[in-house]
This record gives sequence, structure tokens and C-alpha cells, in this order.
Amino acid sequence: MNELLGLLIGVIAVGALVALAARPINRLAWRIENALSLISATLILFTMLLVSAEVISRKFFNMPIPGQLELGELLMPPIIFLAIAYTQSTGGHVRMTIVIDHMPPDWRHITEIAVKILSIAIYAVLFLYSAKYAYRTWQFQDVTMSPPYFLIWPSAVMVPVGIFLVSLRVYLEVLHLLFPKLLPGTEPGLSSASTAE
Amino acid sequence: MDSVTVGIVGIIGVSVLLVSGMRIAYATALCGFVGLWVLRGYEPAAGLAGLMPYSESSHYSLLVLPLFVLMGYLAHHAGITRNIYWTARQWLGQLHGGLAIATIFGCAGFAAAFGASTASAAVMGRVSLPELKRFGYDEKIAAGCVAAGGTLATMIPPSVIMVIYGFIAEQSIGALLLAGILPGLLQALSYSVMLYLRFRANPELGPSIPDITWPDRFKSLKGTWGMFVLIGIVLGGIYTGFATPTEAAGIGALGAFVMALPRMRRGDMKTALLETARTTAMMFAIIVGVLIFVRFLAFSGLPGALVDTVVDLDVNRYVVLIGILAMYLVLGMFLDGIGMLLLTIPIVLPAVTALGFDPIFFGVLVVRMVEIGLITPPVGLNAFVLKGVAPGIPIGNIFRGCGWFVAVDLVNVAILIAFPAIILFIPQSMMQ
Repeated sequence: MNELLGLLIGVIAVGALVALAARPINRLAWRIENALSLISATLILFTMLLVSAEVISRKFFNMPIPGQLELGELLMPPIIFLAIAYTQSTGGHVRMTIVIDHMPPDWRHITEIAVKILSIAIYAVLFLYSAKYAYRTWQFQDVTMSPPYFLIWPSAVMVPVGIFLVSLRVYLEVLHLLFPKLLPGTEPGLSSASTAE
Repeated sequence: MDSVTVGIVGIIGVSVLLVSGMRIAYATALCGFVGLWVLRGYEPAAGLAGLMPYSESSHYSLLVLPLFVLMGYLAHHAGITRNIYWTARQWLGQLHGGLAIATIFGCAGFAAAFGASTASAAVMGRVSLPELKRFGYDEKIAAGCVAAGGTLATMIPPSVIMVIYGFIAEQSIGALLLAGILPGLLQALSYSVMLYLRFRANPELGPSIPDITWPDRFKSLKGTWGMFVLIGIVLGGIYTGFATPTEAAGIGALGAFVMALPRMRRGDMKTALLETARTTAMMFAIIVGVLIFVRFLAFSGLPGALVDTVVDLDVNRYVVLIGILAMYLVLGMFLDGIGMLLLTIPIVLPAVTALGFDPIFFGVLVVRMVEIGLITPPVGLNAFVLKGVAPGIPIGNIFRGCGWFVAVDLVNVAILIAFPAIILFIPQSMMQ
């Protein structure tokens, strides 16, 4: 429980720091999101090549690629979590807007901010404990089940990285909704902040 | 408060957050974490919440999802969409309502390379709507054809929704994918019969296309080989047991990649890959969030309580089945398909199997209900996607155009319940 209190203080401190330099941080975050989504896209292409190379090599040359299955599994978290903030800033995460679309504008504004703050709350928890999990995999140098024994931590660490970036993105959206002068909608990465999709 | 009550409160909590516009992935993760905290204590809840984003995203069987999505986008860039539509137009155009029927079969053909309905509706809308408009087809029917035709991608393999059902229901994903073939064909045929009869009764809805010669028809076939190669790789690979669904998807994506490579302009590849990454992140965010919630529901004992209640009901099991499907019809009007399945299947499936229904049979029926949810108001995603492609058509007209297709869908569901062999024949013949 003390951890949760520490987490709350940490979130507020980071939030205050980001608010001090909202525009440059927003631009930097947008650049990072774009770069990481390209890495994710490249990893998908690599996965395709890996899976098909393994089938061809195993079926036609009777030479399975060792560790293909484990490597495929290890590639999934980076593919997903490196693209998760980019998906948020481009409005790709699914939600239901039928009720809030019919709310009076003030209500809608408040509801949008409230659910975004709740989202940040759950991200903070997921960030802390997925980071702890990643730290343990590094501390114990955990490896996959069979040869060639890939290290797990480079994959596991992508989870907190992605969750941190997506929570930063949602927080920047909150800043935009609360203080449109501090962070106007014309800044990059905010196009989906309050619109329905 | 006993644990079942906590489960029910959790479900109410998720519903309130979803209605308030919170994204499905985050609303379910939040309620799941809080629910676990209440039921099991803070430390176990936090431990699970930290582990699940990694453990639930690194399943080998789910690797098939990004590969199927990638195959679809690449197939589109390889020109397969346009070619299939053109072939269907040449072969079916002279019928009553020929261009509308061709749109349905174009969608069915493309569904064999594409696994996501909304993307399929968007892609087919861009190709077929201008042509339907050029020939003066009724706007409502044209929109209905594309929106409903797009749902075929969910039934005809490869299908993202089918993979997710198989994952959560712990059923063979290969068998489920194959189980969708005949119901998907039945669906396309039923749509076509309905369109044929409507256009014959009222030719003012749209003309048939005159002057298509046989050489034209055969010439159009040249453009379809890519589709047949992909069907051969994916379905042939799975059916013969040559490849697992993941392997088949990998080779299928590679095939589409090779076909697309010479035709792609600069930037097309980047677009296809980024779209795949975005769709993958969206799907898995929901998968992780909902599974945290589902873990909480399992601890609450709610699914077990529901099984006891349903099994003790003194009614015919088909009445229960139809009741459950009706519930999906209503849920599907509001929720997106992936979230709806992940949330409900762990609760509903134990009851359904306790009543003696085959999980694959039930899966296809539920996926059919997901398809209907895509074209019914108020949140029919396919209709909204189409609105994005053709802003000139009022959303009300798109939904009105879908009305006839929903009626056909419901008749189809009744046929499938009456003749389960339509669903189970191919997967059973594979297993022998």
C-alpha cells in the first residue's frame, strides 16, 4: 500500500514537470512515438520472414530454425507496446462515444477529462508492476525454455516503456483539454484528444 | 459482500466506464485490477497486473493476428481487391442487380485474404461504391452491400475474431477457421439471392450491365490468381495439416508481400506496415485489458454461478441458446466484437457446453452475431467506416440499406442452428 502512495506522489511530480514544458515535451513524445511505431512495423516484417523461413527450412530441408517459436513469442511485446502510444495519438484504440456524443458540451468535457485521469491511474499501476517484472527478469537473467536460451528482459522491458509513453500521451491530452492555451490542438499528436472515432 | 456480488458490481463498473467513453482496454484493466484487489488483496492483484501485459501478449498462438492483418493490407496493395471486384463484375454483371451481387462476391473473395471486417468494408467501399454510383444504383442498397459484404471477412477465413474466439475458448484455431468457410459461402449466396429477387421485383433499384462478352469474362480471371494462391496457402496449409495457422499466416503474408512488391509505390509499404502495427496494438491492448478483467471474474465465481443457474433452467436447451444469441445481438449493437467476445465467452461458454453444444458450433454462431452487430445501429462499425469512405451518404441511409441484410443474417442463423453440419462438416473431415 505504501507503494501505491509513492506511485501517486511520483505521478503528480512527473505531471507537474511535464506541465512546465508541455509543448516541447509533446513534440518530443510525438517524435518518439513515430520512431517506435516504425520499429514495431519493422519487427512485424521480420516476424513474417522468421515464421516463413522456419516453415520452408523445416519442411523442405528438414532443418528447423532453433528457437523460432520462442523468438516469435519474444517479438510480440515489442511489436505491441512500441506501437501502443502511436495508436493512442492517432485515435486507433476503440471506444464507445454514443452516449457522450449526446451530452451537453460541458458535461462531455468533464467526462472526457475524468476517464482520461482514470486511464492514467491504471497505467501508473501497470507501469510500476510491469517495470518490476521486467527488472526481475533482468536481475535473474531469465531465459526462454529451450536452446538457444534467449534473454527475456529485452522483450519484457518494452512493456513499461510502451505503457509510460501511452500514459504520457493521455496526460498531454488532459493538459490540452484543461489548458488549450498551454497546449493547443494544432500541436502534433493531439488530433484524437477529444473527437469521436 | 460475497464474491459473486463483487463480480456483478465489477460488470456494472465496466459498463459505466465504457458508456462514459473510456477506451475498452483501459476500462476493463482498471475494473479488473480493482476487483482483484478487493477479492485477493493488493499484492496479488498488483503482481498479476504487472505480469499480464507481458504474459498475455507473448502467446505464440496469437502471433497469427498481426500476420493475418499484414497479409490483408499487402494483398490490397498487390491489387487483389480491385481485380476480384472486376472479375465478379464481369461474371455476374448481367444478372438482375448484377453489380450489387458482384460487390457481395467481390467482398467474399477479398475476405479470403482479409481478416478484419471494418478494414474490408473500407477497402471494398473505395473500389465498388464509385462503380455502383456510376451505374445509378440505389444509394441505400449500394451502401448496404458494401457494409454487409464487409462482414464476410469475419466469417470467411482468415478471421481475426475467429482466432480470438479460439484463443479464449481454448479450441483449435485451425478447426474454427475452417468451420467458417461454408457458413461464409452460405451468407454470400443468401445475400445474392435476396438482391436478385429485390432487383427483379423492382428494376428501378439499378440496372444490370449489358454487353459483357465471354472473352472479357475469361480475360478477367487472370487477375484472380493471387487470391487463389493465398487461399491455397492459408486454407490448404491448415486443412492438410501442412502448417499451423501461425505458419500458414506467415507464408500467406510472405506470398502477399512478394505479389505486392512490384506494384507498390514509395511509401505504400510503410503505410501497410504502420497500419498493421496500429491494428495489432489496438487488438492486443483490448486482449490484455479484458483478460485482467476476466481473471477477476473467474475469481468472483460468477461464471460458475451462471452455469448452475442456466443448467437448472427447466427449458429446452435451444431456447437457452437462442436467448444467449439474442443477448449477443443486443450487446453487438453497442460493443466492438473483440471486446465483446473476450468479456462474455469465459462466462457464457461453460454454460453452453454444459448444455451439450459443440464449442466450435457455438463459436461460429457467436461470430455470426458479431457480424450483425457491425451493421446494426447505433454503433455498427462497418456503417461508420463506410460513412468515412463515402461522406455523401447519410448514416441513416447506410443503416436502412443494411436492414435487408440483417434479415437475411437472422434467417442464416436459424439455418445454421437447424443444420449444424454446415459448420462442423469441414473441421470434422479435417480431423479424420
